[in-house]
Amino acid sequence: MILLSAALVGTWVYHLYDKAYYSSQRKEIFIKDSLAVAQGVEDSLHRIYSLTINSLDAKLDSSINTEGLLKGELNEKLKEIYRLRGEIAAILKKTDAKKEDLELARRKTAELQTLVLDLQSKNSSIEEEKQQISAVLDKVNLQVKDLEGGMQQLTRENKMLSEKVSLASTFMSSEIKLSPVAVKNDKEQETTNTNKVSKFIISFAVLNNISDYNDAEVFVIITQPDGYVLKTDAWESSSALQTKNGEKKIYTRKIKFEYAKGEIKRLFFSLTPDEFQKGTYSLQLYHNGSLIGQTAKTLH
Amino acid sequence: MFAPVLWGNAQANIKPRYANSRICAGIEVGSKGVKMSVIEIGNNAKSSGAFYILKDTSVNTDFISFTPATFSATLNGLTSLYQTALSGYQIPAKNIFTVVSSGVKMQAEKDKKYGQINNLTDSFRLRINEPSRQVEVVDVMKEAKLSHLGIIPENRRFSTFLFDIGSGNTKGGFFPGNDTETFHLFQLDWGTKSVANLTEKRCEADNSLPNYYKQLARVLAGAENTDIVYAVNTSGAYPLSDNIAVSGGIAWAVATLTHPELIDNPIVSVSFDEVKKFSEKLYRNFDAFNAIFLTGAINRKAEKDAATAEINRVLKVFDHKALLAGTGLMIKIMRQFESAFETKHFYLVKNGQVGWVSAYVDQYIDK
Repeated sequence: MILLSAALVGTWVYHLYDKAYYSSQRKEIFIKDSLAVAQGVEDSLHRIYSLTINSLDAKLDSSINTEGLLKGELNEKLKEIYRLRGEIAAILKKTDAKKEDLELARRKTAELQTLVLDLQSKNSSIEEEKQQISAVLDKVNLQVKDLEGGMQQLTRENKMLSEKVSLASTFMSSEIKLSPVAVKNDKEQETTNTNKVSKFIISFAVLNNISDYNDAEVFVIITQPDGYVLKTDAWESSSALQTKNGEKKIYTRKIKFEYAKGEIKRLFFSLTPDEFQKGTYSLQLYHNGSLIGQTAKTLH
Repeated sequence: MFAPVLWGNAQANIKPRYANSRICAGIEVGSKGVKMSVIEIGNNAKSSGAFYILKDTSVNTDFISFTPATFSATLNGLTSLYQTALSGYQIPAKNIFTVVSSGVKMQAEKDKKYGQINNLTDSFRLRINEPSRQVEVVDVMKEAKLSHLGIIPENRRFSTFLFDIGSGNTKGGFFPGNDTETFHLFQLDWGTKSVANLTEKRCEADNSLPNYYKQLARVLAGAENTDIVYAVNTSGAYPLSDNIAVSGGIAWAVATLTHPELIDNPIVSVSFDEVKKFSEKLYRNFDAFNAIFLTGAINRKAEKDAATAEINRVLKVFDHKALLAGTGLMIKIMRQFESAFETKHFYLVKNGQVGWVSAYVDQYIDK
C-alpha cells in the first residue's frame, strides 16, 4: 500500500512537473514565435520599401525632368509619395513598433507602390506623348521647310517676273542725238568748234509696247570732258537717280511726260552751259533705273 | 547783262569753276561779327539759280554790344575784309557789296544805338576812301526779299515759298502776285538755337538724350500749336506755292548729311518722309552719321574728299542735340505744307546765307 501510495504520489508529482514543464515551455515558444514573425514582417516591409524607394528615386529623376503641362499634377503625386515615404520610414524606425503600426506600414507601402506604378505608367505615357508630339513636330518642320522652300522659289520667280515686267515696261530708245549748235542770225547750225558752240540740243525717241505712263521720267546724264556731270539748272538736277544696282547717280536733266503704250515719243530740249570744254561729251539715258541708250560728241 | 571779270595773277588763290563767270563779294556786318563771302555766279544764274561759294571768311567782333572796343573791332574787320576782296582777290569795287544785317538794325533800334551804325558806315567810307560807297542797312523784309530774289530762279519765282531757319528766328516769304513788288513776309520767333535752348531748360537736371528728345517733342509741339500753324496759315503761302525751299544752317546740315553724293549741288531736293526718317535716325543711330560711312558710295576721289570735309564741318558746327532741334523745327514747318491731296516739292538750299549777294548782283551791277 505504501508502495502503491508512493507510486501514485510520484505519478502525480511527475504529472504536475511535466505539466508545469510543458506549460512553461509552451509560453516560451509562443513569445519566441511572435517576435520572429514581427521581425520577419519588418524585414520584408524594409525590402519592399527599399526596392520601391530605389526604383522610385530613379524614376523621380526622370519624372522631375519631365516638365511641361503636367508638372502641377506630377508635383501633387510626388508630394504624396514623399509624404508616404516619410510616414513609412518613421514607422519602421520605431523600436517598439506594434502590430497595428506594422499593418499601417504595410498598407502605406502598398499605397506607395500603387502610386509609384501609377507614376511610372504616367511617365511612360508622357514619354510616348512626347515622342508623338516630337514626330508631329518633325513632320510640321518638314512641311514648313517645304513651304519655305516653295515661298523662296515663289519670291525668286516673282522677282524674276517683276524684273521681266520692269524690263518689258522700260522704254527702248532710238535716234539719240547730242548736237552742239552755233546760233547765228537766229539760225542754228551744228558745229564741233568749242569757240562757236552756244548750246546743246538733245533729242531722242522712246517706245514701249506694254505700259502706259501718266508721269514717265527719263533721266539724262551728260558727262563733260573733265568727268563732271553737266548741270545747267541746280533745281532741276537737285536729286540723285538710283540705278537698278543701287548706285546713286547725279543727272543733268529729268524729263517728265505722259506716255501711251506703243507710241513713239520724240523728246528734245536744249542746254546752255556756262562754258564748253574741248573733248568728248557723253550722254546716257536712264529709265526705271536702267541704262536705255547712250551717245557721245566731241568738241574741238 | 554782266561784264565778265578779268583775272589777274593775284586771284590765284580763288579757283572759279568757269572761265566766263562773275566773281562777287558780299560783306555783311552781323550781330556776331563781319562775314565775307566770295561767290561765283554763272551766266545762267538767273535761270538756273546756281551760285557757288569760293571763299567764306568771318571775323568775330560782337558789334551789337555797342561798346567802343567792339565798334573798333567791327570797323577794322570790315575794312580789312573789303581790302582783301579788292586787292587780294582783285574783285572790282562795284562787285563788292557791303550791308548791315537786319539783326544789327533791330538790336540797335531796341538799344537806341542806331547812331553807332551810322558812325560805322561813315568811318568805313572814310577808311576805304570811297565816300559814295553804299552800305545798306537792311530790314527783315528787305533781307527776306533779297534772299528770295537771289536764291530762287526766275522760272520758280512765283511758285516758291522760301524760309530761312536761323539760330534765333525763322524768316522768309513769297511773292503772291506776278511781280516782285509785293512780298509776303513770313516770320517766326523760333530758330535752331532758341528751340535747343528751351529744350535744355526743360531738361532740368536730366541731360540724357532720351529726356532731351522727350522735352524737344514738347517744345516743338508747343511751337507748332501756338505759332507755326498760325504763321503759315496767315501767310497764305500754302495755296500759292508748289515749291517749298528751306535755307539756313540746318538746311545745309540736313542736305549734306542726307545726300553727301550731291556735294556739288547747291540745291538738294528732299521729301517730307525723308527728313522725318533722317530725324529719327539722328536720334536712334547718330553714330551712322560719320564721314567714312556716309561717303562710302562716292567713287570719285575729289567728290569724296569734298563730301568728307563738308560732313565734318557740319558735325563741328552742329552737335547732336542742335541737329535734333533744328531738324525738328524744320519738320514742323514742312508739315504744314505736306498734304495727301497736293504734292509740294521740298528743296534744301545750302548757301542761302549769301543769297542776298546774288540779288545785289542783279539789282545794282551794270546799272
